[in-house]
Amino acid sequence: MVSLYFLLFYINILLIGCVLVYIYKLRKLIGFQLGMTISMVAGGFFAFTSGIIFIYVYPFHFLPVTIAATLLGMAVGSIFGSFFDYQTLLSGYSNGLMMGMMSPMVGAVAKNSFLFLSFAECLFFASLLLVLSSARQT
Amino acid sequence: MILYLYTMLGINILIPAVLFLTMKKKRKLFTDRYGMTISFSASLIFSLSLGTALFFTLPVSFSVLIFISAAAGSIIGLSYGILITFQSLIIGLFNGTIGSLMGTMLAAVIIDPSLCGLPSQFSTLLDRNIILITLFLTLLSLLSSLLLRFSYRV
Repeated sequence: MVSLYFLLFYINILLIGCVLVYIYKLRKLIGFQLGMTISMVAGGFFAFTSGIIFIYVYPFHFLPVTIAATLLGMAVGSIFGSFFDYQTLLSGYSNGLMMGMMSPMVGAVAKNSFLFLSFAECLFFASLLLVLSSARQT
Repeated sequence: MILYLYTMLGINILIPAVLFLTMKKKRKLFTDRYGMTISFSASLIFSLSLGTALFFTLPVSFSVLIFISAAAGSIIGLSYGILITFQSLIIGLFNGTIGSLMGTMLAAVIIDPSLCGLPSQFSTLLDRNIILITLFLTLLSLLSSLLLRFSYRV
């Protein structure tokens, strides 16, 4: 079960890397309004899923899990935001921080239910698809 | 321990005040969108940190404490939003209240992990956890205040 969780986390990292490369190629075409929304959505949902996976694997260490999820969300939101502008960096940073702070609490309440994790993964995939399609249409 | 917590509370009050005073001198230079971003991120992070420090410090009951921290967060959001326009005032009020409620919830889970169904820890680890989370949030708010302070040059 633990290896399945780590496999899911690895798939998440691969997907967010692919989306990162795709957005980086299109970054000259995207305006700042869409850039702000893209950085908020990508950083927030990546922090959400990774926080849930971490608290499932290590239920005894609440504090290091919270700190790790917060730093991950901040990093992903800042990287997505830094393609466009300084202000998109700021909004991606703060939203990733907020979602990463919240996600281990939500994952701890769910008590290792696999259904909730699959729901969060579906949410993450759907948001990445929305980001890709919105970046293509502009 | 008590001295450390009060020092952290003082630092958490001091950082938004210093940033607010430096922002107030330059508020004529801000555009509309810049003000919205500033009030969004500043009120969120500072009220999160302040709510956590208030929960550890004040020896009152939970219902009084959540009222105090929500009022403090909304005051932070209002004072950052009132620099620019009415739109940023509403965003700052909303985000400040959300952030302080989140900080209170985080501190309650840190003190008693069985609220979330986690296995409860020993009492020796509790002091270490309180010190670590307060230090981490204070460093985070210091970092974001530096980011916000140097943001309008770019």
